[in-house]
Amino acid sequence: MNKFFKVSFLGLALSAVVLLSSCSDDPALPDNLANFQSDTQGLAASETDLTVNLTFVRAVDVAGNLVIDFTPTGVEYGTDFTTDPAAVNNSITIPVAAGATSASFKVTKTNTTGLQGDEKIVFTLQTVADGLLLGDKKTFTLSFSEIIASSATVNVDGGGATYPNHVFIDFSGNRQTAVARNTWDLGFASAGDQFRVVLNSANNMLVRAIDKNDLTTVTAADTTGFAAQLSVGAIFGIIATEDPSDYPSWLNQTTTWMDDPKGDLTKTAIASVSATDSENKVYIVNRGNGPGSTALGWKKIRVIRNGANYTLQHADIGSSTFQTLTITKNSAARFQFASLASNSVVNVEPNVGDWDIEWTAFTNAIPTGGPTDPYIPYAYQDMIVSNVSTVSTAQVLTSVSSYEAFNEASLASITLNNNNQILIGSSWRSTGPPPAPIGQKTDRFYVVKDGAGNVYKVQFTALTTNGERGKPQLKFDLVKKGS
Amino acid sequence: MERIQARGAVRLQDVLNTELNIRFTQDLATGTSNMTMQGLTGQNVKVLIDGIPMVGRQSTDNSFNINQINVNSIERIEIIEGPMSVIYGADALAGVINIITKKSPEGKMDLTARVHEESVGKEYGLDKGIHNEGVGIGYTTKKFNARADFARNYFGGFKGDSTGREELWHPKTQYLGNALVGFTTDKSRAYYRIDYLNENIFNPGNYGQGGAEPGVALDQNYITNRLMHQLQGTHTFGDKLSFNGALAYTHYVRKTQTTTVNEASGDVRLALGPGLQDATTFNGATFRGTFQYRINSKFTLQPGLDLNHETGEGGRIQPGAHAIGDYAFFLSGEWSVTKRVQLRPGIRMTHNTVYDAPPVMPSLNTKIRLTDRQDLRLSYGRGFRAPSIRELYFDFFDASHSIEGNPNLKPETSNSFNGSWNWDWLHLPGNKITMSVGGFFNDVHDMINYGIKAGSTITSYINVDRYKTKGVTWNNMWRNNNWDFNLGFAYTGRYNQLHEDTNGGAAYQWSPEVNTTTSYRTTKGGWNFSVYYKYTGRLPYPEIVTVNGESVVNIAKMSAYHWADASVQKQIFKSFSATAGVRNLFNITSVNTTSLSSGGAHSTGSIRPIGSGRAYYLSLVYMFNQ
Repeated sequence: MNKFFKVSFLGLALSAVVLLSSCSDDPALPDNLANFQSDTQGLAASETDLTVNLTFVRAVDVAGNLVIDFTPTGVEYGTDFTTDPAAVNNSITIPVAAGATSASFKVTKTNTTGLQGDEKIVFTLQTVADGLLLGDKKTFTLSFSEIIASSATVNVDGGGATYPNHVFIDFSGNRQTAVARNTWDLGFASAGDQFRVVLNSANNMLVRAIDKNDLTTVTAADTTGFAAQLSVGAIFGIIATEDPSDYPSWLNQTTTWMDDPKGDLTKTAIASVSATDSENKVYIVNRGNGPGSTALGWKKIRVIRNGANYTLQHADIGSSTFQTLTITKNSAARFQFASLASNSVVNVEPNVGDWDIEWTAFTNAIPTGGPTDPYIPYAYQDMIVSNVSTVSTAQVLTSVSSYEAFNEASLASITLNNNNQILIGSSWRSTGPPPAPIGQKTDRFYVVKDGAGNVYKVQFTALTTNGERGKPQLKFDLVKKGS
Repeated sequence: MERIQARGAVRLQDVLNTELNIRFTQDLATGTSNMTMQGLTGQNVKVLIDGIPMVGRQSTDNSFNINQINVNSIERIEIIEGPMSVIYGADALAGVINIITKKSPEGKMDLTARVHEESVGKEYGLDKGIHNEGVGIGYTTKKFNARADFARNYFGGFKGDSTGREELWHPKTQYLGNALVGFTTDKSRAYYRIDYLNENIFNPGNYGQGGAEPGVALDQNYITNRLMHQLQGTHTFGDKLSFNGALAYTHYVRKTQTTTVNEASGDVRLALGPGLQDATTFNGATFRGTFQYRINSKFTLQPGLDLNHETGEGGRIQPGAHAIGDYAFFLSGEWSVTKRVQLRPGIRMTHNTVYDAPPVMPSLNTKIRLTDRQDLRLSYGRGFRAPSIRELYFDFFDASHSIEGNPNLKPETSNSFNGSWNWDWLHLPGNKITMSVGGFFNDVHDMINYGIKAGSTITSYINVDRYKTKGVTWNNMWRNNNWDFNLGFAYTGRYNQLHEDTNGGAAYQWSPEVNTTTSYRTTKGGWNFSVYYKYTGRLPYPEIVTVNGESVVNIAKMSAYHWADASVQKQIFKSFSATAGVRNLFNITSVNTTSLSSGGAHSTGSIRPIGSGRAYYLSLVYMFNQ
């Protein structure tokens, strides 16, 4: 008996050791660093204000303040410029709400005539809210003249794994502009001779014409069967579950429901808007999916000309009335954008000269195999779309030239082109699945020539930040200054 | 089990991989291995520990990971091929692997300690190779018994062609412990046993690759924790009636933890993306009670209850805990029709709270003694595989996927036939030769596969496919005081669902297997030499590929390979024994396939990983009895 208890005690002690020895603490979350999004930016002579962004590694836990001091050179607060929030003794206090992942302040140039262009302000992040730490990029220089950035690392503010943002990147200005992708549906071409309408490809929007030209006569009966076809999810479902030999014939038409992925405006899903109103048909619109795969729903639309401009008519499928919106062309940007949800014109793309490439979710066309090998619309993430109206691009493999060695002389050996907006596209990364590699491709980089003739080499250095998709990183260096 | 020691086995797979009709491939993504039995995937094999089903069907193929069991605490392994669904319920369609744990001999205290060192291919060092240690202690009196085992298993990973920090086979560390207390009276026996597992599979990434920023690497840890309690007992109510009962509860958590490590500082932090930190939890409770009632010398009845309740929650499963209750009554009987003919009919009635389990499942086993030394066994059984929690409640929606589980799934059901002829043809003192010839046929209906959910555009799981396997086996054994020799042959056909398509090939695709074991025990000196060998024949499998825009069926073939292990065991003094051996003599790492489809978004490539190269090991065992 005695022995028995000894032994069982031993046994239990042993198992207790087992239990304890294998308990381990999880690692901590990454430090929540606050950084300026870029280190230097410039205000062009034509610009009066600039929003300066600060980013955090993750959402802050509790509300607090950021304090930023600044040192002006050649300009004076209140006389030549102001800030919002307003500064006291050259110091700005920015409130940060709990849950925020970024902060910003605005600098407005109030002296619009008397500046030389060599003035600047250096901002320094002094103290941060509780739970935040000072990162490496704690100073920011604002020049009162346009800059041509020579080199920088860009942490693209894609918004995270649901790809909520378009991010427009301007290399020479060292700027990025993030715009929520679910704020718009249709883009209207600005060029005087063009009457083209493009879809929000980031939301995987698809449209299909029906043989009617009066929105009020369109009912749910006109869209019978559309749900099983006019949707990237439904189309992919066919590919995922059917043998190629059993593909339905309508699969061959699916790419006509999307815009040309290369950006050819003569191949849009919506036909060129005719000067003859009666020729402009009604389109059934699947608005696609917003971030987090939330279905945005269905609409019917019709676009007609309004002199040199456009009139958009739109309504819910079953509605017997419709709303109208006038879209006025503006040649400073490639497109004017409209939201069906708010029936308003919204800002999306920066002006033509103010962006070079865009990081975005996208609808691409991919082959599927099978006897007829139909192409289908397919949702892409991490697409790089270039501003083909002014920007041309080329890919360089590191087997031809390393990123470091590539210089002005190397430009003679490459061919830049602007006939394909997704020349960079998704070629910079691979997506597995395991054991195939996932991530940025390190065997290539890109050359981008902007509208002002500046030539940059660009390499994508990360697909994720702290493991999170939708937050890629790139670096760029100036190869040749525009003349 | 002697064989576990003689083979220097560090995981169950090392023992089973030369068995006929069992095959393994490595899953490089998750660092686990996938098994097939009788040509059916591992999800159709039920793994039991002392008769209690193990909880934690996971991984991509829904199978239980047999390598999460302490091999040092195993007394023996019973492999029963053919459906055991009447007795064991769901997922025992291809068969059952029952692991019987060690019990201490009566009136004695015993202590076992084992140290095992092994290379992984050519890799061996402080943090490379295999370093395993185990101890076990037991004590048994007439009335009480107690036992505890503990093991640490360390596998340093296998680099293969990987570079930098990456490992082709992920490093793995396991801590396994179990403890038991029991008592015995004239009429009753009962014990309580606790089993614990902690496993960490570590998948290191390279700096600045796999999506990570320059100077940062993304690592993954797959952490499994399992705690299993069981209370088992038997009681005899006189010479006609006895009862066997078991109550078990298992808590199982598998965590996927993604971390970043900074190259310069070595700082390790949790990664931030959604889905990168994830835990799948299963809780399972089981009660089994079986009466054995001997009516007379001809009839024996065995009624029983099998009650199971399982909950599961976690990653890519619809939020919340999902409970599945499975309540079954079974009755089997043994009828000695004549002296030579024995019938064992059985029936199981099941109620499942989630899916429509087959309400009545029959089985019939017959044993006919042809002569004193020959018998013929024929059996038929219905089997079923339950839809997994993932198949029922999957939830995965992103830009390019809309997939959800289907709570209306039915189980996959099978009709299975097994037969064997066994001949005990030489039985002399010190010499024994036996031979057996067997065959099987499994016909599985309502196999679960992807399909479009009716009336929607969502991909889901549906009961759609049909699958069949059939095969023959031939086993021979010769044993005397020194020699032990086995030779076996199997030929298994797997149904080709595409055989009706153009160039679809034959309806069954066949693959052979040969295995042999030779061991020689010296009469004096305590030496034991063993060689284990298995030939795994070319495995054909159909696939659809696109050639010149035409979709055609290609019968791809996975190449044949040879597997052999050899070992020498020596008893040193009374309490020590040492085993030295070579595992994977043919230095197999992977086998080629002639698959034409590769590089697609969801293809698996044309190479199948099998082993981690030729390995050498030395195992020391100290065994003390008093």
